This record gives sequence, structure tokens and C-alpha cells, in this order.
Amino acid sequence: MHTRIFFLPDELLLRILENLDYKDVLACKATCLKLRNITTFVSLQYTVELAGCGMLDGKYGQPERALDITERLERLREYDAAWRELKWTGSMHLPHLTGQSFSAHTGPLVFCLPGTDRPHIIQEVPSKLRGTREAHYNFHSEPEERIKVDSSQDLVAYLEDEFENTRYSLKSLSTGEPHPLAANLGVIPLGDSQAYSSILDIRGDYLLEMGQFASPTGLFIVRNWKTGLTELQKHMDIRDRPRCYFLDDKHVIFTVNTSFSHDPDDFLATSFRVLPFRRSEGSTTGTVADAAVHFLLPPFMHSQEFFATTDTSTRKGGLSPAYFHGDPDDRLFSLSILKGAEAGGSFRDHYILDIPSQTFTFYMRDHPTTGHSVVPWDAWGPHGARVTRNDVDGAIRGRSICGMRRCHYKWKSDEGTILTVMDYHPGRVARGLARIGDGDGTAIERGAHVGANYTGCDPLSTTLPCLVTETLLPKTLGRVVLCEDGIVFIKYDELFALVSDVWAYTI
Amino acid sequence: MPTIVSVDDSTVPGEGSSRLLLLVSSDNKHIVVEEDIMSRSRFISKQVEGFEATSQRHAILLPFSSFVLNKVIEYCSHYRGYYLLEDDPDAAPPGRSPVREWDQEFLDVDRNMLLRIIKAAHYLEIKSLVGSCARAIADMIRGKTTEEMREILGVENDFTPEEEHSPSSKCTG
Repeated sequence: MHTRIFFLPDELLLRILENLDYKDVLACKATCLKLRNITTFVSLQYTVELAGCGMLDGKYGQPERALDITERLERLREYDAAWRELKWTGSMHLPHLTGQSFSAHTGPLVFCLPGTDRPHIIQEVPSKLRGTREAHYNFHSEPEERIKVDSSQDLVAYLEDEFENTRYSLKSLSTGEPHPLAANLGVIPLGDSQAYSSILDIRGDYLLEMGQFASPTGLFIVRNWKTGLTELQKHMDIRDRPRCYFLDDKHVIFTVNTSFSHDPDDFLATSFRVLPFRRSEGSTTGTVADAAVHFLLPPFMHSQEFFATTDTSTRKGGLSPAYFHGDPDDRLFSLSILKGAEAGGSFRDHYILDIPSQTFTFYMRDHPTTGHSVVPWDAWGPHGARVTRNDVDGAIRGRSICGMRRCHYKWKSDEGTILTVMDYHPGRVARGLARIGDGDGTAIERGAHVGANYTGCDPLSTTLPCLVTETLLPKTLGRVVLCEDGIVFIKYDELFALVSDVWAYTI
Repeated sequence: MPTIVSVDDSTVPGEGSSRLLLLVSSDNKHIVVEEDIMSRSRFISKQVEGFEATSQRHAILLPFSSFVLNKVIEYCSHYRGYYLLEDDPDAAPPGRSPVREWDQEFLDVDRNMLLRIIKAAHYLEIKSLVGSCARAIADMIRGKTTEEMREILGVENDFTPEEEHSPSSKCTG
């Protein structure tokens, strides 16, 4: 016989639900009236809101107790409102660094300086949130794929070459010392046969790596950096460099490109593949399940008319990694599809497909063991995948997914820059537009909060000066522009003021 | 009927001066346990303070079965002498409970038993045990669909059709 859980007092029900993440809280909320009422408690709403914003709470994900939950929820909502209303502030100049490359990793900037040692400088964007100091690290190889920073866990992970002895170093971002939670004092040795290796993604305790022996075979590895244990090893064909991320804390998602013929110019079809990587709970030696689910792209992807790449000089299709974007910490995957590529490089129509990753895990749960189940594209419909048609021409300059939001920059040299924000926060879908007048961000027109049916806008007639490269900073809601005269950081208004003394928030 | 038993001056041979307590479960089983072990329970500690104020010691009646009570005593015996942050009355209120391996094994019991243990731990004010039980119950429903959760929690869908389809934005503001 089943005892009803309601013989417990509300206080205990709340204690139970506080252990769940936002998805479970939302599922619980839909069970019955009593649990719906309990989910209105501040601590549970905070869980939902925090997840919706794609944030973590506190250093190493542990909440700091200086502020109570009510106050946190209030600030978080203000932060969220500032986000939705696209409030901008002026630019901020960072020290000029003649970097050969730079990249942004959920907060800190990583610069690579020229020189034989290729020293790296890690600098946090202006914010009092974490107090990360400028730090120098030395590398001996290309930086972009060999260094990953996760500021929410105070972690810098990079490959260290010492003659033949290549290994991962795991350091604390704030101190530069070996990370206190890392296995083996912050160093994980590579397998013997890996000639080349890179860190693709970090999520929580796990590192996603790719090792290469001889083309075209690559080895994908998921390792727990806190214990050093390997969770998944998977050989894959890497001729097409699949894009992969952690989908959630149990699954990895890959793109899989398939050629229809041996003609190199022929169109490639792309599908997604989801692989579970975790051992069963509590087991230290268990086997890794090799179930996988393939997701087919929409049928129009199989037409010669559609391309998922900007490379129009050759008719090579396939899914360019740049057009498949997911935020490793979050739950939304976005795919841009361009229709009607022409010789001049202009595109008539531009579609964006967004798939909440709950959809992937939904199918994972329903098809966990049948091998390579194929889920047709139209099955996504009712579960939240959306196709958006964009009427604004022009290439997308930058893109980011921040929490359950997607951000796009569209840039036209003669008409200014347009920022589009789509909101996929649980329970609301909205779209906002901001027009960015000039390069230093001083004349930003605040975007109107418009309905989901918005179809277009009139860009301003100013241009962005000296634009060399730019990137949107996930979660910081700013962007970094590398110009001839330095690096300009443009950030949203009020956000930092709001959270500057709440160091428990992850930027 | 309350059973008044004097256990004053009782000590355990060879265990120093730890006093004994007499606990009486709802199925009227009498269980003798060292005061030390039960000091993790705020409820018991308050009772003991009462004994000292009045110099009267009597049996403590508890509203749950001896089966559950023995389980709680087993927990308290295991952590005898350990400091657990959640049980510190001066510490800040706990957020998410920490994972303790022993607790996970200890709480590997059926669902009904788990619900009874958490209720007993709540009554006895043993915050660490409440936290571990809450985590164990949460583990049972984690990653489940709404329908599966109803099954596990033993609740019924009591929404009207309109309520069921109302947008979830209500709770997220």
C-alpha cells in the first residue's frame, strides 16, 4: 500500500523539493494543487528563476548565505528585467593588449600574446563579482581549443606540453594554484596514444575531450576532473570535426555529418546524436551504456536549396560548427539554416531552429536502449522546437545563448547592428530587439519589448568603426569588440550595479 | 497510558557517566538508550533539560513505532560524537543537504519507511537526518515525468482542465 506523501507537513515537503533542480520542480508543480502551492515558496521559485537565467549560485555552485533567499530572488528578478528590457550602458576600455587572439569564456577574457612561449593572460571583464585577478599562464601551442575556463567553478583547464609529456592542468582561476577540488593535485595525464588533444567542453565535474591518433579516427573522452575517472570513451570519425557539447549532466550531443555520395562537392546531411556518458549511480566500475538517439534535421535540409554554411564558393554543405550553437551550461540549442545561397554571398532567407534540450532528454528517456533510434524532425514540434524565419538580411556576427535566451547580432555595414533576443524562459516566450548605433556603444537605442510576431525593424544608419572581431559574452550580457585602438567592452546597463555586491552570482 | 519509570542514577557499566533514557514507542515498546546518543535530537535534549530543572526523570513517549525508532537510534549511534553542521543549533539554516555515503546506504529502505523516518526525525528535531531523508526522497522523483511523480508520491491529479493548462509563468513571475 502506498502512503500518501501528504501525511508530511509542508515544511518537510519543501525540504524535499529543495533538493531538486528547476525541471523537477516544474514537473512537480504539475502533479496536483497542493504541490503547486508548495512550489510558490520563495526558495523553489528562486531555483526556477536562477536556472532560467542560466546562472549558478555561489562559488563551486554552493550558495553563499550572506543574503537570504527572498533578497536573492528579488535581485535576480531585477537582473532578469534589465536583461529583457535590453538596458545598455556606455563602453569600457580594457587595457590595450596586442593579442594575437582572444576569447571569452563565460566571464574572463583569455588573451594570447605573441612570443615563443605564447603566454596567456586571463582577465576578468570589469565586474566586482568574482575578484579574479589578472593571471598569466604559459602554453606552447594553439590556445583556442586547449584552454577552457569555467568561472562558476573557479576552474582553468588547459593542456600542458612538456616535451613528450602532455597532460591536463587544472588550476584555480582566482589563485593560479592547482584547483583544490581537482584529482591528483590538478594534473590528469593523457593516454599514451593521443597525438593531439583538446578540451571541448566543461560541465560540472566533467571534461569533454577529443584525442586524435591518426585521421580520420578520433577518440572522444568524458572524464570526471574531480576524481580522474574516465566516464566515456568513444571512437568517432572526425573528418568533419563534429560539434559536441554536454547536453546535460548525463548526455553528450554530437553533430554527425553524412555524405550522400563520394563527390566531395555533394551535399552533406547532418543529424544529431545523443550519447549518455555516466556510470550508473553509486557504481565505480560500471559499464557505460552505448545507447544513442539520432535526430534528423528538418526535411528541407535535404534539399539542394538549403545550406548550413556561408561558404558559397564551393557547394559544399554540411553543418558548419559555427552555425550550431549550444550553451554548455544551459538548455537551448540553436541551429541556423540559410536558404538560397547565391554566388554573391547574400542569403534570401535565414531560418533559425531552436531546440530546448529537454526535448533531447525526453527522447533519450523514451528510446534509451534501442540503439540508434531515429527521431524524425516533425516529432519535435509539440515539445518546443521552433523554427524562426528572419527577414533581416546580413550575416550574423555573433551569437550567444544566455540561460534560456538566445542572442543574435546581425550586422550590416551600411545600416548598423541589430541585436535580437529570444526568450525561452520556462513559461514565457518573448522577443526583444535592440539597435546598436555606433561601435563604442554610447548611442544605443533601447530595444522595445515586442511580441513574438515581430517581423522586422529599421536599422540605424551608422556603422561600426574598426570592427576586427567581437564576441558576445555568455551570461555577462555584454560584448567585447577588438578594435585597432584596443579592446572595447560594452555591457548592459544596471546589471553590474545590481549584482556587484552579490558575489554569489555567476556572471 | 504514560508509563512513569524512574531511571535516575542509572549508568552504563564501563561507559563513564552517560545516563540512560527510556523511550516508549507508539506500539508500547520500551527502549533504553544512552542519553549521549540521543543528544543529537533537539527534542530529546530539551526533555533532558526539563528533567534537570525538575529533578524528575520519566519515560519519553514518542508517536511512532519501535521499528522506526530503532532506525533513528541506529542513525544517532553511528554519528555519536560527530559534529554535523546541520545539527548545530547556532549554525545558519541549511540549504541543500550534503551527500553522506553512509546515510545513502542507511536510507536504502522502501518509500513508506523513508517517509516515516523523515517524519520521526522532524518530530525529534534531528536536522541532519531530515536533510538526508529529504535528499533520498528527492532522488526518487528526480528526472521523472509528472505522471511518474504522481505514482511515486501517491498523489492524484486534482486540477480542473483549465488549471492544468494554465501557463507555468504564474510561478515564475
